[in-house]
Amino acid sequence: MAKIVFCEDETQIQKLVRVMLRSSNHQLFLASDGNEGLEVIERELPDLIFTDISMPGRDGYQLADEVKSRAHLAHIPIIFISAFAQRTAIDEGYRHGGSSYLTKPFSAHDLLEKINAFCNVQARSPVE
Amino acid sequence: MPLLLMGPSPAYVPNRPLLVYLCTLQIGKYKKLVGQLMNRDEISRTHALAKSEPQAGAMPTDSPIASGTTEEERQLYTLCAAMSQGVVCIDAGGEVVMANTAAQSMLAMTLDEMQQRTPLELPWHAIQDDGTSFSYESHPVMQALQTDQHISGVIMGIYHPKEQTYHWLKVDVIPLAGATEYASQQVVAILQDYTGPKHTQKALDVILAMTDALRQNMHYTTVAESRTNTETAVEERLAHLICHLLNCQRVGIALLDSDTENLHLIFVMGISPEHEYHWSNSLQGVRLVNFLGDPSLVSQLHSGEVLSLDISVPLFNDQISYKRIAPILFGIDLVGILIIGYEHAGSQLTIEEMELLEGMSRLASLALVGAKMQHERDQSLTELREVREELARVDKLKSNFVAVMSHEVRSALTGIQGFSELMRDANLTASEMKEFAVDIHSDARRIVRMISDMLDLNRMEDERIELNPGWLDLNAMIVDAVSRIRPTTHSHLIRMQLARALPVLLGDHEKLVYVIMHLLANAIKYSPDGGEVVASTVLEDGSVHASVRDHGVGIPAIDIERIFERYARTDTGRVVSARQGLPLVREVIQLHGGQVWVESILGAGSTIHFTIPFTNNR
Repeated sequence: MAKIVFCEDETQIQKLVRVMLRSSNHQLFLASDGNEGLEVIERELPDLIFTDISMPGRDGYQLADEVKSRAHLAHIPIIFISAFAQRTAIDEGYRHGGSSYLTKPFSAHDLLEKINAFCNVQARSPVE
Repeated sequence: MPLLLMGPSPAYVPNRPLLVYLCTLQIGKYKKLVGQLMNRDEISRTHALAKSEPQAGAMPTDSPIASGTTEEERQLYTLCAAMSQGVVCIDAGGEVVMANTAAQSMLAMTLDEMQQRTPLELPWHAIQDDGTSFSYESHPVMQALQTDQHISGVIMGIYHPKEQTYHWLKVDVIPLAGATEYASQQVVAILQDYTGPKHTQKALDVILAMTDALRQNMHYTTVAESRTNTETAVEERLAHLICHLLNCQRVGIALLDSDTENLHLIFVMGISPEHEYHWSNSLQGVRLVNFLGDPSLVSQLHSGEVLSLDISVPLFNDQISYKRIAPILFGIDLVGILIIGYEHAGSQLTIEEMELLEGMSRLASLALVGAKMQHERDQSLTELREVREELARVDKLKSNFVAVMSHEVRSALTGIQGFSELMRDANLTASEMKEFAVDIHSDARRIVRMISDMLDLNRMEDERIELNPGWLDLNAMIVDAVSRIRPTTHSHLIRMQLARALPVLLGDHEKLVYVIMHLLANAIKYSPDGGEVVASTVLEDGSVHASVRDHGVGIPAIDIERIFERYARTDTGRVVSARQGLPLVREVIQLHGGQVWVESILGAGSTIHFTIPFTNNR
C-alpha cells in the first residue's frame, strides 16, 4: 500500500482518479491546487506525489520546487501529469525535480504502472 | 644689333622665352617704331587675322613693314604679329602702347580702341576666376607695374559683347628689365586662350560634386523636410557651382511628385534671402503646370527640352528675371527641374553652356537614379523585414495555438477516455454508469465549445463576424447568468451590485451572455477556496461599466498584460494563467465599441471590467 497525494484542479479528473484507484489498496489524498497540495504533502508525508502543471495559484513546477527544497520532503518522487505533451514541457518537468511524466489522457493502467514503478508495491488492479 | 635667339632658356613654353627676350631687349628701344608700325599697318590686318587664327611661326603673306626699319626690327615685328599668344605692351602709366593681332582678337578690341588707355579704363568687362571684377590692386598689370615682379597664371574672363559671353584668358605679366629713354618702366602682358580649359575645369568640378553626392548616398526623397543637413550642403555646393558656371544669379532644384505633379523644393539659392524666400514660396507644393502657366511648356520639359523663358512668362512674383528651366529625367519620366535665373535679358547661354546645362540635368538624373534605387532597396528591405516579423508572429501564434489547443483537448479527453474505460472494465453501479456518462458528455461538450470558440475567433480575425444587435437590458442578463451559474458551485457566494435605471443598450444578446458567463465561470474557477464573487454595473458618462470580482488566486503581474492574448504561453511552454475565453471576451466587447481590462493582486483576487457605450448606439 502506498500513500499518494494527487494535485489536480479539475474536479472531473479528481473524480476519475478516485474511481481508478478505489479498488487498489493505495491511500489517495486529493488537492485542488499547489498550495493545498503542499499542505497535504506536509501533513501526510506521502510515498509518491502526482501533480498537474497548470493550476491556479502555485502551479505544478512551483510545488515541485518547494517540495525539493524541503529536506524532509525532497526524497519523495514527483510525477507530473499534464496535457502538455511537448518535449520542452517534459524536460522542464525533469528540471524541476520530477521523476517521471504522465501525459493526459491516461488510463487506469498507466496510473498504476507508475505507482508500482515508484513505490515498489504490488497493487491490485481496480478493474479486475 | 644681334637678336638673341639662342641663350639661357627660362622655364617657360618655347614661344614665350623668345618673346620675353625680344621684348626685354628690343621693345623699349623700338617702342616708338613698333607703335608706329602697329598704328599704320596692323589695323588693316587685324580684322583679317582675327577671323583666321594666326599660327605661330607662320609668316604673314604681305609685308606691311615700313621702309627704313632694320632687319632685326622686321624680325621682331613678324614674330610678334604671327604669335598665337596675345602680346600687349603697357607703359609705366599703365597705358596700352602695343597689341599684336592675337591680343586684339582675344580682347575683342582694335589697337585704336586700346591705345592710350589703361586696362582698368578700357570699355571691356573683365572678371576674375571667381566671377568678381578686378580692383586696381588685383589687376595683374597694375601689380606688375607696382611691384616690378613677374605675375603669372592669372585667369581673366573678358566679355565679348557680340557673342554675349566671356572668353577666358590666362595672363602672364612680365616687367621689362631695361628702363629706356621712353619710359622708366614697362610691362608686357602675354595672353593665352583659356576658355577651353576653364569650361573643362568647371564641368569637372560639377562632375566631381555630383560624384561626391552619389558617393555620399544622397537620398532624394520626395519630401523635402526629411532631407539631412549633409545633403543640403552638397546641393548648396552644387548650386554655387551652377551659378558660377553659367554666370547666373539664382538656382533652384525641385523634385516632382509623380502622382500629384506637385513640386517639392530641394534647394534654392539666390542673391538675397528675400529672393530665396520668394522662390521657395513659389516652388514648394505648386503643381508644375500651374507654376509654368502653360501645359505646352510642361510637355517640352517631358520631352527633355531646356526652356528659355523671357520676361513674358512671370514665374515668380519677384523682380524681373529671365530663366532657363532644365528637366531632370529618370529614364523617360520627368522627376525634377533645375531652374536658373538671370537678372539681365542679354544673358543668352552659348551652345556650349546650354550643353553644359543639359549635361548637369543629366548628371542630376543619374544622381537621382542611384538615390532612388537605394531608396527602393531600403524600402524593399524594410518591407521584407516586416513580412518576416509578421511571419514569425503568425508562426509563433500557430505553434502556441497547437500547444494550447492540444492541451485543452487532451485535458477534456482525459475524462472521456478514463470514464469510458471504467464503464467498460470496472464493476459499476447503474447510477455510477449514468453519472460517468454525464461526465463524458460534459467533456465532449467542452471540446465542442473549444472548437466553436476557436472558429469564432478565426471568424472575428477574418472580420467576418457580425453582431446581431438588438435592444437589451444588461442588468437582466447578469441576473439570468448568475441564476444559471449558482448551482455549479457550493463554495462561492455570488452577489450582484447593479445600477438602478440602466439605459437599454444596443448589442448582441447571445455574445454578451457569453461574455458574462465566461467572466463568472473564471471567477469561480480561479477562487478555488470559494468566497465572494461580485457582479456589478455602474452607469458612467456615456457607457455602462460592468465588472466581475473574485477573491481568488489572482494573476501574476507578468501575465496581466498577456491574459487577453490568444494562446499565450511563457517561454517555458506554460500557459499564461489561461482564463478560458478571455480573448473572445475582449473581441466581443471591442466589437461593441467598449473596453476590457483587468485588475489583480496575486493571492487576493481579480476584477475584470468591461464597458459598453450607449451614446453611440442611438
